[in-house]
Amino acid sequence: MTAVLNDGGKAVISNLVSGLGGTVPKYVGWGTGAGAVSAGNTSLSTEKLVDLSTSAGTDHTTGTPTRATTTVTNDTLVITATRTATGGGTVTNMGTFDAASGGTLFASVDSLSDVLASGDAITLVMNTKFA
Amino acid sequence: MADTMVVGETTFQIIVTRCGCDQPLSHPDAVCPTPREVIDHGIVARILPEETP
Repeated sequence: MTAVLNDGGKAVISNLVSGLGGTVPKYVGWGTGAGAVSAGNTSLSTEKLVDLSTSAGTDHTTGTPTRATTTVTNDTLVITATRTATGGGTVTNMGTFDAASGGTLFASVDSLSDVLASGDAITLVMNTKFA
Repeated sequence: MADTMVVGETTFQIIVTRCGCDQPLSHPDAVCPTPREVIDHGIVARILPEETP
C-alpha cells in the first residue's frame, strides 16, 4: 500500500498558508479501480459515489480537520471522516479533496480491497506531517 | 545547510465498520446503529518524504 501527498495537494497547502485562498482538504472520496497512486494523479481510480453500485461520481464526505503533534507541537494536519456506502462494492483507493464534489486531489492511498455492503462504512484518518 | 527537505509526509488509517442492519440505510451520512464487525487496518500506508537535491 502506498500513500502520497499529491502534487495538487502541495498547491492547496501553499494557497492556504499564503492566505491567497484555498479550502481545507477535508472531503473524502473513494474509488473502485486498479492501479497505484502517484503524486501526479489528479483523480482517484474509478471514483464512485457513496453508492458503490452505481456509475462513477465525485461526491465527497465532509470530514473534520484537527491538528496533532507528531514530532513538534501541532506539526500534523489530521482529517477524519466516516463514509458510509449506500450500495455495495469494493473500495480499492481513497483520497482527500478540497471540495465536496470534484475539487483538487490532496492525498491518496491505494491497494485497499474492502468489500462493502450497503450500510458498511470506512473511517479514514489522514495524517500529513510537516516536521 | 541540509540537503533534503521534508514536505508533507502522509499516512492513512483505515477502519471498516460492517453494518448489522438488514435494510440499506436511506441517507448517505447515516450511521449504522448496530455494527456487527469493526476492522481496524491500522496505519496502512506510509512513504518517505520526497528528497530535493
